[in-house]
Amino acid sequence: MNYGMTLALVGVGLAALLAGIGSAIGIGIAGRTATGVLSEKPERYGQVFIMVLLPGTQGLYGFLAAFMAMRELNFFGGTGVPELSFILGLQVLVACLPIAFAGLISAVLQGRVCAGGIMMAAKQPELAFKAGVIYAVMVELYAMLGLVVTLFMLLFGINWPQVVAAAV
Amino acid sequence: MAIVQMVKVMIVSHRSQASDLLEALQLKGICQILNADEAIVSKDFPELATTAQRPKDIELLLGRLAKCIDFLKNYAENQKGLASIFAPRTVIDEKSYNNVVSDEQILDIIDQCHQCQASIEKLDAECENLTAALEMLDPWSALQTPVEEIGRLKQTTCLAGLLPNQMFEQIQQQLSALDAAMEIIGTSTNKNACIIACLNENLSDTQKLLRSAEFEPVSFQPMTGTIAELISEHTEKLNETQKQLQAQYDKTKLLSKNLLKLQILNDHYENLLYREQTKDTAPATEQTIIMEGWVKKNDYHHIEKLVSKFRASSLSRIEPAEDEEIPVEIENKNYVRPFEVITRLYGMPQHFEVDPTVFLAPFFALFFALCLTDAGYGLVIIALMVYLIKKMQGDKKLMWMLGICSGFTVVAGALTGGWFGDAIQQFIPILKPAREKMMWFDPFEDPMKFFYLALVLGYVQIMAGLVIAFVHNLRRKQYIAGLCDQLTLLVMLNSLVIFAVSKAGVVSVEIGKFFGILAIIPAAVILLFSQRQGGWGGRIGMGMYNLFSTIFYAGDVLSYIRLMALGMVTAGLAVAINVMAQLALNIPYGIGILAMVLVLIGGHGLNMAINALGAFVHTLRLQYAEFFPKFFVGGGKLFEPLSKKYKHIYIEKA
Repeated sequence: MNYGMTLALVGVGLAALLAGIGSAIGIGIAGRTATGVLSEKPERYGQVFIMVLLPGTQGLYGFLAAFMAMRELNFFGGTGVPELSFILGLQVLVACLPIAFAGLISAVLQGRVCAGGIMMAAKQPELAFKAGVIYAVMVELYAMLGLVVTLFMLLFGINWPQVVAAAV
Repeated sequence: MAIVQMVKVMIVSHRSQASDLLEALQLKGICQILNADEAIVSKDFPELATTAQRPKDIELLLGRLAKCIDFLKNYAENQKGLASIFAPRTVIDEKSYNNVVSDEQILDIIDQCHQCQASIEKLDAECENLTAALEMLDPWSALQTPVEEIGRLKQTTCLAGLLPNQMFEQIQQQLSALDAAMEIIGTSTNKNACIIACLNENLSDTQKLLRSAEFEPVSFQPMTGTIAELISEHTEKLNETQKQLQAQYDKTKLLSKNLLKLQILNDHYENLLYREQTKDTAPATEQTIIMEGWVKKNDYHHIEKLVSKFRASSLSRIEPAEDEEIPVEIENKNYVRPFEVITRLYGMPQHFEVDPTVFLAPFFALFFALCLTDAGYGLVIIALMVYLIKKMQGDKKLMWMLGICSGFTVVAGALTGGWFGDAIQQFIPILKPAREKMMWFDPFEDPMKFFYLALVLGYVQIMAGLVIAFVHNLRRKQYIAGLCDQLTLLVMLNSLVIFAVSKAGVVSVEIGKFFGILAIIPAAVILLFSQRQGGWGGRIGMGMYNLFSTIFYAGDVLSYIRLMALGMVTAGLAVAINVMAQLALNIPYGIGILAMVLVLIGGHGLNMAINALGAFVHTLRLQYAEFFPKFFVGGGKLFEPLSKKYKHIYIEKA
């Protein structure tokens, strides 16, 4: 036993966990502002809805990265998981970090941008989409880049071992 | 295509005809009429600017109508249900519209509405008071004495009030020390209704004691009689009031049958108000109204014909003033028209700019498709849009646009083998060969292809932006600007790209070298001539900055990686949903298949919705932040012709 799989699982967990926490906080911030604005201006529901939703994507990116790692680790193959060396496990862990942290931080900050956009929707509805949403989307690019790096590392950067048939 | 040519007109009409003429113009909806502040004629002759009188009676009527509509809406039966979300306006024919508008009795209905509303408010308040009084009387129901007899007697004083439960025993002891007595009549939540009798000389001490125990004195004034009598009296009154209230509700419900009529009238008067305001704010003389305005060039003959019917009105074509801002309208053909949504959202182009719609349309559809890259989702969205286009009223451009984009999505999905993720491989292996036949590459096996595709498309769009700006500058005969601001960049960036790919061995090293050297020429031009004003020190300084800023083009191109990222997120999550569905199938006792269907429908529905939204906003951002700045400023004034607008109804032309 050399803790390879344990490290890999820590990575998988962090990707889903940190990005998920980020999204939860981001939506929390945006959602709280939204309920405030809606209590005064219920007709802005549609615009506000989009902006509450936007910080949710980072959690999905984290989940996707975790899922891809689990797929490469043959979790769903039914033939058992491979033996991982310590170094390989560490590689999986590191590969998961870009989306974990880019997701965590960008989602929180995007939540703040969205909250600002939602406040603006109350007073300047015509600007809410072209400024509020577009600015929020600008923050998101960096989570996407994190995801792309994570996926590239998982798909290309790691020499996945073949599953030992005896594990069946 | 593109920006519509406008002509300026001046219509001078005798006051007696102005209203009729305006109504005809409003019906046609082709002419924007300027008010005295905007019109040029009142700048030359300031005395023409009239002090506008607000049409107060119409405003007043509209206010009352709006109030009635709001009030009646709560009582009207809503039969339409879900459909009313898509089609909130009631469709009526012209005849019934005219009937309602000429019906004098509707004003009566407004009065009745106001009466009903007022009496409902009054009765509501009465009910509330009676209920509160009954609540107050309830704990005292066991009291036999008429309430007016509670109070100061010769030797003693009676106090009635509520005392908190937990204080009761303590207070009782202290009261007996003051020679006072206390009796419980009844209880309400946590409190006892008590009558306390004390000697007059101890009254102030007793009151002090009671105050410290949070005793709440109760006064029955101005009621008289026993509590039982009072309760039955109040209950009777309450029943009576509720009956009256119900009668008013019924009456209102009857009135609410007229809701549609009121809505029609509301829209009618809104349009009248709009017309009157236009008339009152236009420049005028004692006898005439001067309507200065804009018409699309193609509509000019319509307006000629229209005005010729009015004998005391004249139409003339005039030249716009030199610095006058010409209102802008854009017109595009069939498949491009829906994409005007994107341009309008950003803001109209200025009248000397190009209309970006036709250029952004193909990119937008393509990028949206790449962000989604799932043929299955594309088909679902198309079906949804067809449904909405059929059901919805009003402007359907957005639906059309999403439909077209989804068409592209189906193609992109087929090319990347995405049909609800990997649903074909997982669940319907029979279709595997068909899928593979259509497939170009699988983004998960060959993501680099997707990566390069995104970058190349980004590069193409940015180059396209520069070319558009270049051609537009040439057409406006601004050759130097075209040369120094766009051609230089085009030559330099492309040369650098060829130089870079020669390093990667795609083209020969000699060609690479040639273009590497060629790039120096436009770089020098940018350094010296990108800033063409001011002293040479400043020019070179700005030139250096501009040369340095070309590095941002690399950032712009990298921004298109989002296309690949979003495409892979959609596909990846769809695969994850399929895996979860597969796992759900393993649940025993026949729940498995049900769980699988739920996971598939719920999961794919959610994935599609969230990624379609992502695809839309990210594609939008690419247009606004990467594409537009290369050739487009925007900020033009929208052409707003005087036209009929309807909020509640939709008139079907016979």
